[in-house]
Amino acid sequence: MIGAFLSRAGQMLLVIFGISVLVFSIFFATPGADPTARIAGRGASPQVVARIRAEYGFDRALPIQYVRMMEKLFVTRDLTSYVDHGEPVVPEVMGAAPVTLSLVLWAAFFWVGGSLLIGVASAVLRDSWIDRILMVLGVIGLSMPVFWLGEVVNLFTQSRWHDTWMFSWVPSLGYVPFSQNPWGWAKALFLPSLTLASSFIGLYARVLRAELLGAMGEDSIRTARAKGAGPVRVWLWHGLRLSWLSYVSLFGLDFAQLLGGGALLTEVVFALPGVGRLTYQGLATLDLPLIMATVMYSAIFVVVANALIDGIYTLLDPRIAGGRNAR
Amino acid sequence: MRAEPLLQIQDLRLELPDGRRLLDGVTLDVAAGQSLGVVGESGSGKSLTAMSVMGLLPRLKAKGSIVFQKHELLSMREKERRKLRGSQMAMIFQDPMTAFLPVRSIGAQIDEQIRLHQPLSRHEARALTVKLLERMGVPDPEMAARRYPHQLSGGLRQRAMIAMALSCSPALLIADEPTTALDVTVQAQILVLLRTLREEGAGVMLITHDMGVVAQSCTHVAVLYAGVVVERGTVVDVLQQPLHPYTQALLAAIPPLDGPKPERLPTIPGQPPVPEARPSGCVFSPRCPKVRPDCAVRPDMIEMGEGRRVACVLYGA
Amino acid sequence: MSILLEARSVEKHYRLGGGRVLQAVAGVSLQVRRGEALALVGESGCGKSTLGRTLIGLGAPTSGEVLFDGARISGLSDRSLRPYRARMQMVFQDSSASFNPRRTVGEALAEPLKIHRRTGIVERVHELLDQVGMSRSVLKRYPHEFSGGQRQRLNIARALALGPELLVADEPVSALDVSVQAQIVNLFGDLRSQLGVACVFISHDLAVVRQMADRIAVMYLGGIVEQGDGLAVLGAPAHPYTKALLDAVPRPDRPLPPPLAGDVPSPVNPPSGCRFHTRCPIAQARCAQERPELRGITGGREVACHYPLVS
Repeated sequence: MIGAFLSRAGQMLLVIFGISVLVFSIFFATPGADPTARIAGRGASPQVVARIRAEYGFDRALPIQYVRMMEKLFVTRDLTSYVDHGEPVVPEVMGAAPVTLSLVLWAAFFWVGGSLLIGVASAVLRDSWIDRILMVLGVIGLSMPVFWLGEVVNLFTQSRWHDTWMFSWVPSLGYVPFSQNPWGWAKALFLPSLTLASSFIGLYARVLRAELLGAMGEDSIRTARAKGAGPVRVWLWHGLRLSWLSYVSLFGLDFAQLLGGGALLTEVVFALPGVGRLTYQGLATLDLPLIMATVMYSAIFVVVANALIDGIYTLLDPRIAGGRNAR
Repeated sequence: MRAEPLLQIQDLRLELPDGRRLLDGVTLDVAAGQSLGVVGESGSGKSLTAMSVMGLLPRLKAKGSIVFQKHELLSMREKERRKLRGSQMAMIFQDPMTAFLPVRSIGAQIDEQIRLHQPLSRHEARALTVKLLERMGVPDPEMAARRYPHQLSGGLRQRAMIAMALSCSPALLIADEPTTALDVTVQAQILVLLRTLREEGAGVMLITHDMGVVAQSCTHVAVLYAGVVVERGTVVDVLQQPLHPYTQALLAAIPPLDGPKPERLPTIPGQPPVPEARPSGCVFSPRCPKVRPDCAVRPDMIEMGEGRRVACVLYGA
Repeated sequence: MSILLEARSVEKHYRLGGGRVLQAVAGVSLQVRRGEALALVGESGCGKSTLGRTLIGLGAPTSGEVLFDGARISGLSDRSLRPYRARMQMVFQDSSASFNPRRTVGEALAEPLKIHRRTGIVERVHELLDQVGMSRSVLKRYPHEFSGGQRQRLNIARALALGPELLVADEPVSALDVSVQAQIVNLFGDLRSQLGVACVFISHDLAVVRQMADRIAVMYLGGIVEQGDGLAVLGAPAHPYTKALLDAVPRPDRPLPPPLAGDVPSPVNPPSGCRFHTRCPIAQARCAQERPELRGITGGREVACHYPLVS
């Protein structure tokens, strides 16, 4: 048990190391590009450039540059963005993380709830017109680009109908920290997270419907009915228990990917100062330290989430021993 | 003297929504303390008969009559039937590996059935589960209850399945090929167990394709062919003196385990009909060596003595 | 008759995780003469299927050797095994899984002939259909259009395509209904007398085996416990396991004797001495310590038991 845990942790570290090397080489070891100039920003004085070169070890061998970079990221945490007036980037990312976390948690709440409702309903009413309508709605949600939907939502709730009874409660764009005002926090995140969730609800409902219908054909479901279990119990207790697995693994990956900055477009459209928007800024201004920090943050999240999902998988399905290969 | 039937199926017909008939006249009965073997080849409708009794085929249209403990099941409301399932009638399935939910422990699944029908606490239900497993000859029943299906051997899984079916002391136990997935030595153990249960007074309906299994654990037998019961009677009568040409051919096709080795096994030419091509006359007539012109009309069941019936023109008046 | 196939002390182990080793086949020696039918019988997990695959060169044995027509074929590379592939074929239980659902029967039957660059393919395919009792009209049809029995016939036709000298059939009739099973059992009998092909049948069904094979070898936990003439072995079993297996078959004419207790032990951790001693009704102290070797008894039979029921 402990051995499996340690080997899993070792694997994770190895993956993160691999990603960091890869990201580092893309941004800093690309031939012909001078990272010093990039970090310093346009029109930097020769003194600044020289200081950066010394600080990051750009005059030395690549491995040393890598070690310096990692040291600045993880140990001293004083990686500084010169583009952004000498702002240290690690605290910046750490400050943005709760915003993203709040947004994604809310969105996950909506998309899990919504897809459960729609998925179960359309499986129970399979091939009826309700099922068909629900599935079409799902595809529409799936195929609407988030940034466009976000803009439309903003157009209606912020300007067009903002003064009507329907949307007068909508706060202006931006984020309110939970510690400051929980109610304001919820209000500020309601529409952004619903927008973000819209594309997932359809997909998840579809996956759940297919899995559930597959599971309902299993022998064990027949046994459940032969035991005298009612339809609610058969569908929700036995059926869902069997269809969870792919749903959970899908959820784990999407959730991690969103936390790692995948909600970029939603954050930009709704002016939420999260990790995604930070990445966007970094990319827009070619702020190498910031990009480095956000990408590493994202990688760590995805890897950790993957490990967690594997753990949950073993809990859900006792047939998977060791939790190494998920199905 | 004849025991009051516990289950009486009269002319049961089962149709798919598109009108294809899967069962086309199944008549049989089971009394308490009796064990009826329902024999037939794949596609003969033996499992469908069992499932219709349990009411597990909601998408198929059933006509005829199924009377259980004097109640007509086919006109009964689903809610009422559900109360019978698992308590008054219980079912054992062929493959205990897939019949159990793979993701929950054996004990939890037996507890569930107990608590669906009896007002017991979790604790009391588990105590009953352990007692049941012990009665079924499961070694270390407390530990076994905490195991998942894949962690038990095939024989133990089937014992657990039987324990679950018996958890509410049903009046009727339906076993659908309960030993087909098991090795012979384990099958023998399960057959002995089933025989004890019948001797304790339950009515048993055993679905199987194996005449040997019928001989070992049943008192009566009904032979199904293409969705129709062609012959019924006590096991001794039917196995020693089969009347219907199909029963005769079926018994002859089994390779013998002793005596001289036959050069060739007697076979039945052709294949059983699919539901949409079922003959309007005697269902076996296209393959029957004794076919006559009057086989073109479906023969009725002819009474040939105490509980002995056959549907064949050879025995008509 | 000359020996066609011979296994010498074949062992097959599988490494499981955590340093555990599964002994699927534990030291099996056997011979199959030309034109002869040998049956490997036993319960699930006794290693009969693994042995069958090893005999035909699908997977090398961990130790020991397999000889075909006097030449060693175990441990050969795929390439050097190829000439032997045409001379020995395998028939599997699940006939639906061994056909490509998108290919017609005609294509499936011609395929082995094309791979081995034979000529006169059309004539040969027609001849094969005649041999297994199918009409030529089936060539344009797809596997799913056939019943289990018909598909098994086609499966056998395909195995016969290259004119093999040996067929290894793994549970060839156990998925079939009794009346269809009888047809296939007879078909194997016809093919053997017409073509003189030697067969190894792998089965759990003693009655089927008695009908199909000349000799049978009973396996328990990876080893042969008894072998000899089929009628003789089943008429008067010498090994207590053979007797228990035979007694456990439900029959119309007599009640079941008390069955063997317990389950087959795990091949990962087999019992010491005689592997059957944990379930054997006549086991003695010696059986737990000393592993009995196969030794000859009357009628050319062999049994691995310290206290055989027939001597």
